[in-house]
Amino acid sequence: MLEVKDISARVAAATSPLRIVGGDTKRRYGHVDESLELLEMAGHAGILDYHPAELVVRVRAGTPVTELVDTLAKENQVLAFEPPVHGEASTIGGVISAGLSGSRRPYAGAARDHVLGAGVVLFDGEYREFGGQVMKNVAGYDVSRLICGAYGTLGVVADVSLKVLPAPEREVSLALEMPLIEAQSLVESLTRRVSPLSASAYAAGVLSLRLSGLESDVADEQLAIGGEIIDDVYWRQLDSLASFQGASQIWRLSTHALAPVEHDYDRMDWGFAQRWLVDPATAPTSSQGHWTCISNTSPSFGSMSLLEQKLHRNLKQVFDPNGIFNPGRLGEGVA
Amino acid sequence: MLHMTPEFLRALKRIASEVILEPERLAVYEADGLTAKKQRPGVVVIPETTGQVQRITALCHEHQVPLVARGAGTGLSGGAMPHHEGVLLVMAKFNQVLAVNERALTAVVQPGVTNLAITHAVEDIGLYYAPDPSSQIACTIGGNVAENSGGVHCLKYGLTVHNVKEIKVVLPDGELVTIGGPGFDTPGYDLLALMHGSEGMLGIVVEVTVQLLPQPPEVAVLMAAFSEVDQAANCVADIIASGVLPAGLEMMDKLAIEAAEAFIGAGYPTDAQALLLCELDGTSTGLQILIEKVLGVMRGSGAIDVQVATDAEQRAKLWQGRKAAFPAVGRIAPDYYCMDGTIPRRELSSVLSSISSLSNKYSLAVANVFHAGDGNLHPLILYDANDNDQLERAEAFGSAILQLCIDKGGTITGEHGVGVEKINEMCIQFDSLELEIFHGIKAAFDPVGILNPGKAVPTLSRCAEFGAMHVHVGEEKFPELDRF
Repeated sequence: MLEVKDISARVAAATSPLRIVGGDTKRRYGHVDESLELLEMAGHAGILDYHPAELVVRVRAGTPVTELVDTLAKENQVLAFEPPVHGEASTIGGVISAGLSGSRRPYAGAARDHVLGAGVVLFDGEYREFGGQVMKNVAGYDVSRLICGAYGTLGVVADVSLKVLPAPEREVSLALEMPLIEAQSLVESLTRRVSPLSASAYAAGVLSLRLSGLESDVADEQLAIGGEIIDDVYWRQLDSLASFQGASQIWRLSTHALAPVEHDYDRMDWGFAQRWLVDPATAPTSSQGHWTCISNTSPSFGSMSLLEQKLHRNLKQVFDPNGIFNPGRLGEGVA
Repeated sequence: MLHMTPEFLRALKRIASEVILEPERLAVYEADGLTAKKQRPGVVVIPETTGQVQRITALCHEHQVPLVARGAGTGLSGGAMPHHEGVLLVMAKFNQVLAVNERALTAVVQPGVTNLAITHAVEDIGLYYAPDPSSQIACTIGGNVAENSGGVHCLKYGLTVHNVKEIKVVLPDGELVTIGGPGFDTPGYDLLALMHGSEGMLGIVVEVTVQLLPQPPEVAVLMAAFSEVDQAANCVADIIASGVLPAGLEMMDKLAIEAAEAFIGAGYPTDAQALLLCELDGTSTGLQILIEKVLGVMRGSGAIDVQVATDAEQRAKLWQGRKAAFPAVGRIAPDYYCMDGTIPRRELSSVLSSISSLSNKYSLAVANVFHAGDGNLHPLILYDANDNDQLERAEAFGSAILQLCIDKGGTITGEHGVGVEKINEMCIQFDSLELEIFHGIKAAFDPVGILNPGKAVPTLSRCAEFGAMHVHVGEEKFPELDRF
């Protein structure tokens, strides 16, 4: 068992940069320097505090995502942002540090929207707590959301407090064969009104939808939409990028639902706001949105303005003045 | 910090047409919604364009003159209290809804647009903007971003940070930066989240793109009255535990009920010790199921009276008492002091009972009106500001409530912000290590320290004076920075 004091000691004693890993399932995201000394977080695991009626769970970073999800399921609760699971070893600290959200993202919010607080070990080895375990908290700058998606470049996430929600009474997943234009129009019409839509993906001429909510609402909508029932496991596989296994470059475009379709995408999900290209002949470009390349050999995140880069460097300097946490992970000149 | 020189003022007048220096006109701006804290601004400027905001900011930066941005001035923590030797930047003229994208469900608005005006601009096409602070008729979206405002509906629909997609911000050196975007994420750090609730310390918001939501087809408001405060508090936990997520879940205690009833006549039972208002929304069949479920919980928790309102008029009547609770309490005492601590829901009943003991200790009455579903308390301490002893007791009472919230694992502010009001209590909630990081974040955006100096984050020496924190000699980071 790895304690906070052990993490603190490691950080305080570090004379060279550290590569922070949970289950090490996201090494294709951003620039990973394999030569760095590892700070392994998997030993810092376990649920610290969970009161279902509070809709909050506080959990150590090294806890496997599947273990956390199973614990919540026993109380009929969920992490509404639907953390992607990139492998059995995947930890909640890794998901939060990478700021990754699953299929429910457009309909229930992102990982960061569910972060209420975090305990982090910073440059000096000291453990600090930001945010808390309550739903509303505006005391101090929102550091706990800032570290979500920072890929460990600001500090070591030791524990996080997350908002949880009641599980939907009923879920059903449907597949409908239809042309792109009809699929776009159906998803738009479901988004334009209150509907139980909780996931949507379009690939190879098939629109897949998931409906979640009250039994009666789901049944009514299912009747209206039609289609063929598919296994809900579809969405977990989709979020884990399992179908892209073996690809050397997975390109992800984050844009908005109505952006022009400029490529022959391998898949579009998140209501057409997230689009995927596997091993394209050349690096793709788009008129709207930004590309991430998930790859062992040539990973990249979307570009940012010089001004944003400066703000990133300034913040990095505050949290990690000695440059020991995952240096270069977000890209050269950023953090 | 330098003073405003005649040269500075001449340059300011060249940038903006509306520059106010007359003492009697400056007096209008000396406080925000926290009227107990006043300071006359050095000068008030009312810009009309983003370019002017950039030039004013750059000018202040060059001359090291403090700059405080202000929307409608409805904030309750003194976040927009002016600086006596600085510029108060009044964003009132940025009052246009620039675009509504019906298909993308977004609206682009200027920061001086009121919260409610956004919903008014889109309600005809079946949409609305969800966060609804109680001051929504007057408060502006720029201020909402600065404070990360909540409201009655944030239990289900989130705070401002959950409902804003993009902002344009003027940084302290006058540069304009766009943060966020039309998609669901952007590369790098979540600066959009960082800007929310930063209380005008990091930048000045000049444009906001908000997420709109489709209006729910059916809405109901349930009212339950209880003869014991404990029963009402437990009912809150039981509703959440039942798996229902209400759109809003509010609680009022006896004093608040009586004041609201005397003021508005909403039909609340005045013999009740506590009242819950629960708003549910959904499809017509779904809503009936939710209503039955919640009614069952309310009766099971010992409610002595339960009402269900489904038509708009009845619902408005039930809400009216809650929404008018603050002014209603204002009628029964010369002044009131509104607190904003948040606690875990399971502590509701014990904290309410402790507040009642504190009320006896400080000999001041307190009315409780609050967002029970979020555990966000708004105790209103009744006092008379003309009596110095009462004012001091009110402040001590407030501070004791905040200490209580921290002790119970909560926070000193759920939605009103720290401002100048709760700056001392920040020393209790955070230690010097955490405060150093806050000062570092401030310096990362504003190394000269011109934006809203003295607010939101206490200096370490202030905490040492306050006596709540020990500062080790030589430990202070960023010693080159002025600490205001």
